[in-house]
Amino acid sequence: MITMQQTKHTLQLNVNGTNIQREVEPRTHLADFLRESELLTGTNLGCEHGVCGACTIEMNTAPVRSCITYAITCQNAKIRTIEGFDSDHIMTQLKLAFTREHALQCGYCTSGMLVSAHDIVIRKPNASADEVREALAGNLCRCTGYAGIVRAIMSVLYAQANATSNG
Amino acid sequence: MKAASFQYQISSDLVDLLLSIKQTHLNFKFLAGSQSLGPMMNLRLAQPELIFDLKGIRDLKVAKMGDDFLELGACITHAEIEDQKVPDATNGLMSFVAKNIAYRAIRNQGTLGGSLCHADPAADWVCTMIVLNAELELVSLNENGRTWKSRKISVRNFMQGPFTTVLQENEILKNIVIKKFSTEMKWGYYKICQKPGEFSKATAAVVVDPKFAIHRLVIGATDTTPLLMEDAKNLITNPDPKNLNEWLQKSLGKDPFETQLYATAAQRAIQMLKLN
Amino acid sequence: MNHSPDEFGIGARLTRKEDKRFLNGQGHYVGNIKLPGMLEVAFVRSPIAHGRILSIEKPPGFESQVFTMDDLKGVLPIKAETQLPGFKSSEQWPLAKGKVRQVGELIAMCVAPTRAQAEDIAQLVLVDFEELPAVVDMVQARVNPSALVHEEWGDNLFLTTEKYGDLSSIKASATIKINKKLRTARQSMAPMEGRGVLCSWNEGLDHLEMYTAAQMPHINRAGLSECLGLPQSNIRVIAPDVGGGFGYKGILLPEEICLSWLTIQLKKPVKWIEDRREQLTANANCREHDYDITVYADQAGKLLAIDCIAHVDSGAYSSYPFSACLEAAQVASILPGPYKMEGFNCTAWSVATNKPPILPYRGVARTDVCFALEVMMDAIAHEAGIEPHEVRLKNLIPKNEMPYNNITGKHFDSGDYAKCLEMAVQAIDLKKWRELQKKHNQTQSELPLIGIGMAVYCEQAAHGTSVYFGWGIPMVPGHEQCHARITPDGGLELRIGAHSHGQGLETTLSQVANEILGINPQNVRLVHGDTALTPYSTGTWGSRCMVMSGGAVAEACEQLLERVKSIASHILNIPVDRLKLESGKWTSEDGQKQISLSEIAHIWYRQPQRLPQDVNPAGLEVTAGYKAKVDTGTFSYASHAVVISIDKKTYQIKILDYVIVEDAGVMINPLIVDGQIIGGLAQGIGTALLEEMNFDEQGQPMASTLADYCLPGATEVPEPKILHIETPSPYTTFGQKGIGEGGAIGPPAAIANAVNDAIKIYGAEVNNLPITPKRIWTAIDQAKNSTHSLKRNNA
Repeated sequence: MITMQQTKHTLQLNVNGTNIQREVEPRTHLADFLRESELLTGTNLGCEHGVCGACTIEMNTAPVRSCITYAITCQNAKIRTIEGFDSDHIMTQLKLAFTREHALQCGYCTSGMLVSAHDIVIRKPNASADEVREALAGNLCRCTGYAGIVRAIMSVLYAQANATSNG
Repeated sequence: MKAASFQYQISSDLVDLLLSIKQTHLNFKFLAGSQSLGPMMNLRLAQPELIFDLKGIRDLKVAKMGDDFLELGACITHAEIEDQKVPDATNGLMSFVAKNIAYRAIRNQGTLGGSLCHADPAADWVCTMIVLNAELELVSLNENGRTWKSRKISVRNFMQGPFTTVLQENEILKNIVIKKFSTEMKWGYYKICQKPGEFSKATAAVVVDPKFAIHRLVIGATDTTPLLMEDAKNLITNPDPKNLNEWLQKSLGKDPFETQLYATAAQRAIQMLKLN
Repeated sequence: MNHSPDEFGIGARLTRKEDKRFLNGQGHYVGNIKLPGMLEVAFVRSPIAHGRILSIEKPPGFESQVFTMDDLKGVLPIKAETQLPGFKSSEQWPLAKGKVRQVGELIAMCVAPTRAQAEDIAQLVLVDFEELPAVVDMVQARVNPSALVHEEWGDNLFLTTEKYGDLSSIKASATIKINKKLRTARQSMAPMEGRGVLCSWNEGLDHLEMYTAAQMPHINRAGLSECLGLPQSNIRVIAPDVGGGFGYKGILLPEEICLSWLTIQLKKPVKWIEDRREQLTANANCREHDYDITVYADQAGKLLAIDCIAHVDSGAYSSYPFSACLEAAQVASILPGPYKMEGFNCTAWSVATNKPPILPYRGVARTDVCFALEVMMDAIAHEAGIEPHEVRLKNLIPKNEMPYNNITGKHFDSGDYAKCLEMAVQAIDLKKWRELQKKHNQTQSELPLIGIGMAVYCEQAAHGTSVYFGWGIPMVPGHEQCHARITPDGGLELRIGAHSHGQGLETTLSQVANEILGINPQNVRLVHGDTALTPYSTGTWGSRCMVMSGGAVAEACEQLLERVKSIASHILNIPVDRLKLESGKWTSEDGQKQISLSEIAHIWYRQPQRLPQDVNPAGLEVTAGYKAKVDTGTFSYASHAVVISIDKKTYQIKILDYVIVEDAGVMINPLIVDGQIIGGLAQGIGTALLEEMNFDEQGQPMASTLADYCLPGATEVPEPKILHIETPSPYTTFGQKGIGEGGAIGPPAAIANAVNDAIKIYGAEVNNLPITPKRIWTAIDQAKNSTHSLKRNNA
């Protein structure tokens, strides 16, 4: 079998708390790097053009589209995929809320949805349901109709607000 | 949908980048936030042989408020503007525009300069920079090969048509320079989208600053460069739908439904002035 | 039947067991599976809609990595035939042979170590065509075709379906007669995960294994067998976790056949993952109907007859297994909906065009039919001068006439449609909105227009043999089985042939088991999706699983119950009929003696010496079957009511309130039922307002990315108010009915009626879906111009 060998570059970054160094082709996007090279398959590909949000991961504490970000441009970045949030308190609450409110069905959009939800809870602690919906505009779900997702996020916002006010 | 192969270079230094551009024979593109170029490359609509990563170049991330001007580097992200992490000379207009661009995940990476150079007619910054009458600083390598030289160009002359700018082969956009407005400056910005985050179908931006006698209206998301009414004082103070429609019909040549959308965007942008 | 006293059985609002893996990024989708030595495939697809292939040039140096149909020797085309008279079948070669009939049709298969490299090779393949005129409009394709999609047919018709009714006396006497021309758009189902196929071949065992994101793995197995000439026992199909289906994944794909062939050739695993561009432009479409429909009524609004000419744009090929007959044939039989009438006449054409083939999408023909019918009911109401809900109350099948056989022979099992509608009218607060309309709906006002609309529909689900066998398509649902086994430690494994990809069957079927055996759902494991491990089933489609698989699970658990009780009786020395089931244990009436399922299992597996002499040696494993008492299916039904506002300048629509009153019989799990309804609503809103897959005159699809094809997001789908009625089905195990599709059926009709309610002040109406701002503006503009010219003519 003939393969077209491409020049690889050395990439160093931190993924889910571990520093790694790999050789990557420039054209490999971050999602494929995480999925294929690091076997972190929790991040899914829904469109590869940045619209659906399924591939959303956290880079340097901000949600980012891993499908239109090339891995080689992430030198020294700190990446968190869905697999890296186990000890995150807000994410734990979100996961419990997602189950409680039936915020997932097939599960394909869920990891991206959770990363975006996590960002919303942190950045917009006073968001209304309408504001949550707007903030979710970049995460498509074909199964749930979003009601459970919004309720789940609102419940975590509410719990966070109460936790803060209770000191 | 995987991109075609490309070579990759990253510079930490503007001069180093300009030198590399000069030396290469490959057809290349700059990668700022990759939010516009990434999809095009994944779809193989763009197949550059070489990519220059601009991320590490500090000269492109200036954020400086001077006495009269605000300078923003081309690689400032939409999120940085939205979050007001960079100074603002526009009484909140830029932050307002930024927060309605696409989605947060896109805004975390997409850049002001990238958006302007991509020159999508529906892009928010294209319209907004024209209403702010921004100036763009374009740099290229000096003859000595060790320093860069710049030229300033009004943003109005920068975009020539859809996805086309006057940027030369050996040039890069370095800074966006906005003349500060007075504290009396008011603005309005309205866009009509099928749903939040989508590309606009009709955009209107209006800026009024009595101290500098500015009454400027820009219509964006036309199929080409935005439509500018430099002196829109009459329209703003007395928004007669008939005059507005006539001007839009003549200037844009679109069907009545689309013309009405632009007119509505303009009227609603003008109404926002009262809210500032 | 034993009713367990704990809270995990039928009706419990249990949260889902399957959530855990998806929340933690441990979903096992086909794209995540790797096999050693795996290679990846990219396809060369047709850039034109219709043409003859003159030559295919493989790139020099890569000939051994590029395959055309000429290489796939012995592989047969996909043929989904039917036995309906006059049906014309199509041959769909897995890689195009001689001709291409749609943009995106497979022409060549390229293989390489990575997908990116395979795409590099595909880019270099040169194909030369003689382009032919594209057949794009379904009506023109029939009456005045520019070309023939299948030349040997002589026309572009897959099938003509006629339900003849003599309407002559009704036509003569009817006071109200209304005709409309209505059209629904072509759509893409667009689940978040596309298709994906991973094939591997075991040479030593002559065994093909295919992982595929599919809804009906046993059907894919059958289709593969037919096309490859491989016996079914040499084929294993596994649907792992699947990211949404909605009908999109109920099809035998040419890609599946290609990759199966390739893995046998190369003796290496090969994978193809559908990207979004392929998904939108090349693979299965749905919907796209055209109606020329006339209704006849008396002056009070009593519906007398429906007369309809319908077209369904079926695309280029007949898909396997549903075939190109289904959607059009359904139109003719379900158009009457839940209404009584004296006459019905309908001709429905399934038309071939140069577009991707259609598949039945959630709601199937019901969504388009409901749109057409309900728009006409509102029109009757308008002419009769009564409210839309009043005209429906006059014509819905009344409760006291159930069960009822309607004018096309559909057997309605049960239901109180009138009550359902009245509840919706109450819940939407019709009175309040009618008041507000007086203020808002003035031509001179700047306030947004307000419109109220409603729709009533019934959803036939869980279709059985008697419904399907007459069509003779490559699949007829029969009896459904479940294999159930109690494990040595007292757990329960349920094996079903259907597949769960969002429906929550891992949870709901464990509730069924709990209801009968008292076993905690946490100790129940559902095995599904793997043809090697599960009984045959036609799979997951038509909202059938809770009735069919649920019934089979119940039957299996009942049989296990007998066996378990006989052992318990023997061990506890209590007659079988004096045993009580309490908190998962079998006890004496006084509660003094008890034995758990795990203890019983331990005895069977590890201490057979303690078993009764006459114990059934088949043990704690059963394969049980289910067939509904009456297998024409269940009829769920609902009323949707919606209030919308229309911005008078931008014509954008906002949904102000949405009410759904539904009756799906007994709800196994209300949390999941609501989830299905709301998910369906989202898709219905997409159909009503946003989604259209248009093709230009050359047959080029206009939407190739999600930036062009607009899917509903969180801001487009409000949370509806849902009210439940639970009229048990008399024919199913627990009285449950299929509920998966209804949410997607009602919205286009209800929203269209609301829009037309709002714009009737202009004498305007919209007749096409989706209802975009531009279509509203056009309708109003046309109405203004015709009034204007009317005034001029009258001057």
